[in-house]
Amino acid sequence: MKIIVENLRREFGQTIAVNDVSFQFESGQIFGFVGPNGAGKTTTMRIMATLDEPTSGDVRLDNISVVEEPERARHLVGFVPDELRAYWDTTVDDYIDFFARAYGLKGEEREQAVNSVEEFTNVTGIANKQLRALSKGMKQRVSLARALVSDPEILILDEPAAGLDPRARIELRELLSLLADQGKAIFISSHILAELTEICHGAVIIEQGKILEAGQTEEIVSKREQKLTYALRSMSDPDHLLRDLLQMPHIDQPRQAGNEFLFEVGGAEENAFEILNLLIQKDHRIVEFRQTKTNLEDIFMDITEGKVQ
Amino acid sequence: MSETPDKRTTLDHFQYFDTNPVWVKDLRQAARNWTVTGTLLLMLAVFYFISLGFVIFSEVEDRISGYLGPSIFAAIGVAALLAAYIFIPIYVGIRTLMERISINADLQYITTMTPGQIIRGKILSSTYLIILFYSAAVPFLVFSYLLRGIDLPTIAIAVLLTFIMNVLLTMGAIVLALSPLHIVMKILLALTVGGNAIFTAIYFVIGAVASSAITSLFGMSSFWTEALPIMITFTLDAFLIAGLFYFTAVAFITPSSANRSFSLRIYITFLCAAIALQFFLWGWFTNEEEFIFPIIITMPCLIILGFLFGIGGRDDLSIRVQREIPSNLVSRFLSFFFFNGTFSCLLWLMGLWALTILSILGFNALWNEFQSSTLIDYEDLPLLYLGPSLFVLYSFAYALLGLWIHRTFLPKRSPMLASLFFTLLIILPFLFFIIIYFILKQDMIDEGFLIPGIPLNVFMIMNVYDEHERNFGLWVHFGSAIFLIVVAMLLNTKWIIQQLKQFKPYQRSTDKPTIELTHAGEDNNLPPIVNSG
Repeated sequence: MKIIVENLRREFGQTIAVNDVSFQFESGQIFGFVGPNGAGKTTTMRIMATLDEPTSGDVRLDNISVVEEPERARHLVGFVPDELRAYWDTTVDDYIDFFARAYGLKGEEREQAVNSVEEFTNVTGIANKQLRALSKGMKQRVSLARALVSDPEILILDEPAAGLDPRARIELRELLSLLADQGKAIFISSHILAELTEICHGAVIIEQGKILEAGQTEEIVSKREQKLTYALRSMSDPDHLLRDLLQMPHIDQPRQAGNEFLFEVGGAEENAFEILNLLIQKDHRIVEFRQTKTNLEDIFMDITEGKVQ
Repeated sequence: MSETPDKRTTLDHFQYFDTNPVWVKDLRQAARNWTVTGTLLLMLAVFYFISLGFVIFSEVEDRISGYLGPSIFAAIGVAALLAAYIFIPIYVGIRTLMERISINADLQYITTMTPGQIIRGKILSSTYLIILFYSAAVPFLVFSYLLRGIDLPTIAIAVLLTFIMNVLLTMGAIVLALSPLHIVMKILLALTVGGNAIFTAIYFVIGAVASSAITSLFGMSSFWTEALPIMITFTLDAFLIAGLFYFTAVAFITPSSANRSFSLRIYITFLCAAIALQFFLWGWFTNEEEFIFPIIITMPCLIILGFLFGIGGRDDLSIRVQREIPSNLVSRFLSFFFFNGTFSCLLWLMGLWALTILSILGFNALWNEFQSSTLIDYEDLPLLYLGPSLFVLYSFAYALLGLWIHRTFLPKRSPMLASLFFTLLIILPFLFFIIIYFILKQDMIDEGFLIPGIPLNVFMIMNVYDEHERNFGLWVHFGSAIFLIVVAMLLNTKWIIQQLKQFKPYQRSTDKPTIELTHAGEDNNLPPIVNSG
C-alpha cells in the first residue's frame, strides 16, 4: 500500500494551516511527522483520516482518494488523535466494542477482535473501567486499541507519546515497531524527536504549514551531512584536551557537552582515525571515541536553523 | 486480529444480523448516565405524590362521581410531558452536538457506518428512551382509569399523540445539533424555535385532553368521516415530518464530496406533493376552499428558506458526483435539478413553486367544474397567485444578487456569506426607505405606497382595499421582480454558464480532477466554493 499526499492545502478563513504539502510513504514503514506546535501536523493528519476536508489537494491510499471516496478510505485508516475524548458513561470494553460494531464486525468475530486488541494493547485489566477515570497513558492505549480493532492497513497517530511516562513510551515504541513488522504503514507525529529517531524509517518535517524536508531518514541525513560528528570521553584534564582539540587538523567546533566533547570532522573517516592517533600520542587517556548518529532533532534544528516557534 | 466480513452470503448476513451500533452505544451510555436515571426516578416520585395527593385531599363526592380520573390523568400528563418533552430532546441534542463539535469531531463519523445508519441509531435510541419514560407513566395512567371519569381510548390516543410529538421534537433536536450552523446560532434556535415547539406541543396535547377533545371525537356521529381522517392525517403528517428530519440529518453528516442533495431534494419534492395533495383532498371532501390557503402561504415560506440555505453551500461538483451524472440527455436534464449545486438548487426551488401554482390552477379548474361553488373568483386571482409568487420571484433575484456579491467581492470567504447578503438585500432597503421617508415626512409609509423592487412592500400592497389599485401595484412589482431577475442573471452569466457546463459525466481521459481545476486560479472570476459544511 502506498500513501501519497499531493499538494494538500487547508485554509481556515485567512489562515493557511497547510500549504501545498506533498509526501509519500508505504506499508511496513514508520514515518515521523515533525514540526513545532501549530505547524499544521494535526490538520494534515485529520485530513488523512477523513475527519476534515482539504481546501485543495488530495491524499491517495492506494489510489483511493480521501476527498472523493472517504467511505472507502475509512476501511483502510485507523486514527489515534492526540487526546482521547472522554466518552460519557462508557467503559473501555463498551468503547472498543462499539467501534468494532461500527466497522461492521459481528458476532464471535467481533468478540475475538475486541479481545485480541485489548490483549495486544494491554488494556484487558481495565476493560470495565470508565473511560473518564483513566490516566493519560491508559487512554492512549485504549485509543490505539480502538484504532486497531478494524485491523486497518494505515495507522495515523497524532502525538501518541505526549503525556506518557518513560515506561509507557518505550512500550508504545515497541508496539509500533511490531505493527510495522506486520506490514502496517504508520504515520506518527511527535515533537519529542528523540523518540521518533529510533523507530522511524522516514520523516516529514513541517513548519508553518509548509514541508521543509521529506523522505527516508538516511536520505535526509545524507543530504544534510557534510561533516560527521564525533563524541570523545577522556580521563584527561578537560582544558588541556580542549586546547589540543582546537589545534588539531580537520576538527570543527569542538565543544564540551556534559562529560564528553563533541566535534565535527570534515572529509573522510581516515581523518577521524588520524585525530584519535594524535590524541593517544599526546597521552590523553581516551575512554570512548565514537561517531554520533545524526537524529531527527539535529536535522530539524539544522533545517529550521534553530528558530523553533 | 480481525477480518471484515466481506465474502459472506445473504443467509450468513441474516444469521449475523446485528443491532445498530449507535443504538447500542447510546443506550449503554444512557443506562450509565445519572441524569437519565435521576430524571426517571424524580418523575416517578412526582407521579406517586400527585396520585397520593389527589386521593388524600379530594372530596369524597369527586371520588364517587368520577371526576378524579381526568384530574389525575391531566396532572400526571403534565408532569410526564414536562419530563419527556424537555429532558429527552435536550439530552439527545446535547449528546449529538458534543459528538459533532467541529474542533474534535467524534470518531464514529469516520468509521465505515453509513450516515443513514448513524441517524437511524440516534433516532432508535432516543425513541427507546421516550418509550422508557412513557412506560414509567403507564401504571399511574391505569390508576387514573381505575378511578373512572376517563376512558381507555382517550388514554391510548393521548399517549400516542404525545409520543409521536415527542419523537418529532427529539428528531428536531438531532437535526439542529447536526446542522452546520455556529454553536451560538444552534443554542439560540434551540431556545427560540425548540422552546416554542416544546411548549406549543405541551399546550396542544394538554388542551386536547382537558377540553375532552379526544373523548368527543369518539362520541361524534361523523367519527368515520371526520375524526378518523383527522387522526390519519396527523399520523401521516408526523411521518412526513419525521422523514424530512431524517433526510436532512443524513445530508448534514454525509461527506460534502457525495451527492448529498439528491435524496433530500427528492424527498422534499415528494413531501410538497404529499402535503398539497392532502390539502386538496381535505378541501374537496369537506367542500371548503380555505384548505388551499395553507399551500399558498407555506410554500413561498419554505421556498424562501430553501433559497437562504441553498446559496450558502458549495457550488462545485466533486468527481464523485460527476461520476453519477447520467450520460443520457433526458436523465441528465432531470438529474440536474436534484444533484449538488447552488444554481440547480435555485432552479429546483423555482420549479417547485411553478408546480405548486400549476397544481392549484388545475385544482381550481376541477373545483369550478365539479363542485357547486367557485373556488377562486377571477378578480381574486392576482391577489392569490401573484402576491405569493412575487415573494418567490424577488427572493430568486436577491438570492442571485447575494451570490454575485459574494463570488465577486469575497470569493474566498465562507459561502454562507451569500445567505447573509440575501437576507440583508431583502430587509435593509426596506428599512432604509422607511427611515428616510419618516425623516422627510415625519410619518409612516401609507399602505398603498408603491416601492418597486422591495419585496416587503408587497405585503403592504396586498392589504390595499381598492382592487384596481392593489392589482396595479402587484403588476408593477411583478415587472420589477422580472427586471431584477434579468439583471441578476446577467451579472451571474459567467457563473451560470460554469454551473451548467460542469454538469457533465466525468471522463477520466480528458477531464482534470475538479480539485485541481478549482484551485488552478487561472481566469477564474467566480471560483467554485469548497467548504467542509
